[in-house]
Amino acid sequence: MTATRDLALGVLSALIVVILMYMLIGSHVVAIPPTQGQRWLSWKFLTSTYNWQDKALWAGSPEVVTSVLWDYRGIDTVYETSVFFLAIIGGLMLVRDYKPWGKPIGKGMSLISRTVVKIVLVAVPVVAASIALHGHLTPGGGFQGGSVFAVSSLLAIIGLGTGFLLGRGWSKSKLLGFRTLGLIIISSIALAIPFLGLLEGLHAYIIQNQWKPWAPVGFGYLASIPGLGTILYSGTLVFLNIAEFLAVSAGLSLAFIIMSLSREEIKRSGGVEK
Amino acid sequence: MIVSVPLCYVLMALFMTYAFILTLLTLKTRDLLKATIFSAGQAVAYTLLLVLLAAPDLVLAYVAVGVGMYTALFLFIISRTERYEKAYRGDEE
Repeated sequence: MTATRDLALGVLSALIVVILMYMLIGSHVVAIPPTQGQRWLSWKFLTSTYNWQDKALWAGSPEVVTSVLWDYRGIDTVYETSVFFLAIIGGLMLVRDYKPWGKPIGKGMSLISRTVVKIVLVAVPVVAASIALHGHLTPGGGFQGGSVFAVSSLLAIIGLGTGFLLGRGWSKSKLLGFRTLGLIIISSIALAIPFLGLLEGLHAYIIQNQWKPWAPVGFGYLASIPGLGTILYSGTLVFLNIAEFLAVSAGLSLAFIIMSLSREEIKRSGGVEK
Repeated sequence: MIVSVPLCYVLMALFMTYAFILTLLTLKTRDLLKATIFSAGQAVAYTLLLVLLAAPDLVLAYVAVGVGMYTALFLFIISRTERYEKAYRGDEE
């Protein structure tokens, strides 16, 4: 019985792989040797994203993926962020009556592990901030930076105990506040340009980034800062990346802190799990 | 006829095989802790594959989610339940 089922599953999965590969090769996505040049869609994005000669469709950023995520397909990402927010809210509903406790709980691991974790704990948030703040120039962005930051808080929870973060004031309301702040920044940036267009009587789009000939409102792309020279900030991209970094890192850290609480702790302080 | 294949393709095939073997081990093993670790290994193989496919944006998200958070989430869940999976009825024959 088991052998028959395994055989059937194997044949089925092999069939699926063959069909998928046939479709990929048939539509010239995969080929050996690889196809030279780009297909029309990638060609369009690659030639218009950072095109200083023709700024009609550009995003002002050399990083094409971030431009697609936050400029060309910005509403998708806003929707994705709101879905993530609702998922965290749904998780927090399970412990909605939970009150913060007084003393720190959990001792963490051995002395060697604690020392190593303390060293790594300095490096990981720096990398995370670098990924998020350079998201409009190099690969990376708000979500990637935020998830790397969440890994560092996870390390702290496992290595040093839950009390380590809570003892430094990482309370539920504060993290939720950071998370909501990120979402408020994202929504206000998305609506700022249409609002400005409405006031000025100009044509403008929701979550528009750069100036367009038919929609002459935009965030600009170069900033002159005294002492630092001229820097490229790519319009909305850097602000949206910072806001997403705030939202994702605070939300995931909160989820991990709540998840790491023991059942007794939740029961004792009036959680739902009775 | 000697076909010259770029090293990149050889490495991609290697990492995909590695990921496939680890996925099979994840499905087959009864020890849930081991299964989680195999699954993290599969995520590492996919990360290397994405590096070879020149998709660094995906790598950054995949490393943090696939290796870090996903593994930790499953370890937390396993710590709340039993470590060993019970044999299902199909195996008893």
